[in-house]
Amino acid sequence: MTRPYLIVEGGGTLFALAQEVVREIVPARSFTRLPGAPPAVRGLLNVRGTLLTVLDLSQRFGRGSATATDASVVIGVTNGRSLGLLVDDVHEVHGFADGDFVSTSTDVADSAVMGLGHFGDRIVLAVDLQELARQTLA
Amino acid sequence: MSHTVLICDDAIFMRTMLGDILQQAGFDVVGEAETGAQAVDKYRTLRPDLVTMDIVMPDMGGIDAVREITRSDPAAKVLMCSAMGQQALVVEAIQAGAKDFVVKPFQPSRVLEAVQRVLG
Amino acid sequence: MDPARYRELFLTEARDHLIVINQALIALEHVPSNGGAGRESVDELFRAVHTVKGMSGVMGYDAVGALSHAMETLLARVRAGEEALDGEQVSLLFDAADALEHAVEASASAHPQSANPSALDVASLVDRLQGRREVARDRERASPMLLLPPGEGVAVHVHLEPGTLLPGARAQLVVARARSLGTVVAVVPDEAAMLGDGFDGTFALRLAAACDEARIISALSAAGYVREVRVVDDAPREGQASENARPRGEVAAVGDGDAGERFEAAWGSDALKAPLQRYVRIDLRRLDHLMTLAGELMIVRGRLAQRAARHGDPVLEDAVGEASRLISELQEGVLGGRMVPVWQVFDRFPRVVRDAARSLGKEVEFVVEGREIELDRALLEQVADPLVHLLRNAVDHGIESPEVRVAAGKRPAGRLTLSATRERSAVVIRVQDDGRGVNRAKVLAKARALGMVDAERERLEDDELLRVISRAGFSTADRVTELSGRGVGIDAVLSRVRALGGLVDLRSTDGAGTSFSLRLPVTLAVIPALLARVGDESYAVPLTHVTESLQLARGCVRTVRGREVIVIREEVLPLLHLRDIVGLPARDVASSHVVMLSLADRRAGLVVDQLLGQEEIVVKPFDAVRGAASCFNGATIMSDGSAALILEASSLL
Repeated sequence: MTRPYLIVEGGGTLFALAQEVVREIVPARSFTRLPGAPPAVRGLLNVRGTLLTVLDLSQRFGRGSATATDASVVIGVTNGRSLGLLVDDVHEVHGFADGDFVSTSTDVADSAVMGLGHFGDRIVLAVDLQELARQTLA
Repeated sequence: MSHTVLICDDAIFMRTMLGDILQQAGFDVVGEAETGAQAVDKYRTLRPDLVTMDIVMPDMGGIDAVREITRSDPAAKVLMCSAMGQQALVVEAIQAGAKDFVVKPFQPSRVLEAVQRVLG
Repeated sequence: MDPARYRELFLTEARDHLIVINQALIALEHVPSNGGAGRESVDELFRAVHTVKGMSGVMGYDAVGALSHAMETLLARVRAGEEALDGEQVSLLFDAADALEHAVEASASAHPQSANPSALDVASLVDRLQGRREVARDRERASPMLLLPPGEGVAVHVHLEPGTLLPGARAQLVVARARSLGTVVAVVPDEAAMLGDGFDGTFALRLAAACDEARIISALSAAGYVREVRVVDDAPREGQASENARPRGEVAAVGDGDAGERFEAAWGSDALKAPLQRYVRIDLRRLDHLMTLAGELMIVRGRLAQRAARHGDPVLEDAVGEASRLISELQEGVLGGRMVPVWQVFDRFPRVVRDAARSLGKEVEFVVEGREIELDRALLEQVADPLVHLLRNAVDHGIESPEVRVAAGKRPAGRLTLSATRERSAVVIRVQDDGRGVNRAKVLAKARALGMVDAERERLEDDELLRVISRAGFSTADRVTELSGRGVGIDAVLSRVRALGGLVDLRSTDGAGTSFSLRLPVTLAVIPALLARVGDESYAVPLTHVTESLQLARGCVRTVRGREVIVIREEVLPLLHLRDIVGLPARDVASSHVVMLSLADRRAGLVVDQLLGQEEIVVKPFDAVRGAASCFNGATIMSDGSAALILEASSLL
């Protein structure tokens, strides 16, 4: 059985996010810096009156930060908490089976990485948004 | 002709809520009082068909106000508004002449049922 | 028809009923099912299960339907007096309630394949519940009768509707109506008993009046919530007790057949329809949306006022002033509509405490006070998790095992109180236990080891205690229990409460207990604040802790024992730099401003680059980020749509 994943791109790397946790995608605007937060945390974004913590997805995984002028924020919701992911581009929804992702030696220590998969002729890093939120939010 | 009501409660929120419930049901809210003493005064001048009375109010409490009102008009119809923990006070109010009571938080249907019982 | 919409309605309602089911079961653990309060609990349980069954039928949720039907059948037998609930059965019902909860969540989930309770579990529970049918079918039906002292007139037996609110007061209304018919010579039970918790709405009175039965029945029934009035002519006869009195003119007839049917026939379908105490249901997102709009309007209001002031047009200023007033009222109205009584969340906790106590082998008597106190719904929802944490913490670390308690001369069962009280514009929620208190020596040792206090300190005061244990990840737990001590600490509670504009207070007495007080604003606050700038960033400082602000002159800054201080009116106060707090490079203080902060007896001056002025700001919470500065727990949205962090002065002083 395959499940749908949203393919996004940041800092030149492709990421896959389980579609069931993605609530919406909004254009990135100015962020309010959160003093003391890890560098990958870009800050707070006002989304229709609600404040959202935004994480630079590719920077979080050490792949360089999102730089596009028309960058997007993918809003994910897990366990009632929201986390925004800053990405350069949003591609498409693609089905993957659990077995499509293989764990790699370099990323195996990061529990937010589900594994690597293939998307056309490119490699995609599957990310566990729930774990990412758990690690980022107190 | 619609029945006239005097609402006595020290909280604006509760007065507004009760007022809305009663007005929507076609009652004519002729006055509001924030204290027991005001309630007694306004009852004398307005002679409403029904009084809703909060138990705990500054100045003169609801129970004393019921006692005063029923002393001056034994046919007065007073509906007490109480919170869950105030059973003993409600009983005191009934003995002082209150005709029925409703328990907060108010459900419009229950308030209106109680009003019908009192006026019925 | 939108199936998702019905699914949501089903879920919300079913969850409410599950709370009622759990509450009633907890109550039944302690009292027998066949009298007074126990009977009331069985009634509640029955109604809740019955409603869930009805809803699941409509939705076609088979597992939920099967379970609730089996539970209902057992309960109907209990109500009919054919069975009494023993501990084993209550525990079976607890299991069934758990399975029902799983079934409800799974049935209504958008992904039914995930975590569906196995059909086997449901079937086996249903079997176990049905197994009870065979037990004691012919056990005699208990029929408690009230003994009225013999005398003149007629005996009138009254049953109030199950679940009647303030049944004692309602009974007094019935008695008052009886008095209007004639002299009431006796009432049983007496007034004091009617006001007690055990009163189940069944009472009798003796009326010395020559009234006809129909008139008595109609007059007394008009008192409201009266299920049944029976008039019994029990004029004293030799050797005959009132139990044998022949009832005349029963209002409700008792039918034959299955227990469930019999119940319905006897109690009438009104008993099933008796509404649970509840508000009109509104989709909460609508209220949230209104709240957000009102908040945004407040911000626009500020911008308009600024602009209008610049124009100097009195008509425009009047119009803006009028609009401002209306906007404020609108916001107050929206805030008022969001108020809900705390029981909507508190009622989930008895089960939490019970389960925690069981798994830890503790005995806990859980008391909830101030259930009716109202709080903004969003605030209430936000404090639910912190409260669960504090309650579990109290059971785990506060309350001792029964043996230890007895050895310390305490009652074996610990007392855990959750209370809500209104204090002016705040609501204080307190979690209080009578356990061992916070281990000061251990916390002091940790504080020393972490360099939080001087090495020679002998004792920590309560507020210091809180500051130490609220250090992220701090735990004095000797062992990591299943419930707490897993790193989710008091720090999470503190940051959540502060984000909501609240304060946390800790009081601990060695050997006598601990209490945590959460002081919360009644509504999500609109607070007056000073807007300040450092570099190109804006921050808000709530006026609560600001005493004054002034231009900083170079001369008044001194260095005393290596610390920067400011001397104002001969008072020497430490200086803090907002640039330093937010990690911006320092700059010359020549043109800076200083905001004087004060909290109780602690004072300090906060240096900022620039002051933008004072504004009413709408506080917006956000999820705390790991590692981020803990003095920022909320933010406000500025007129350009960006967010400005709100500096929590109390965490700096």
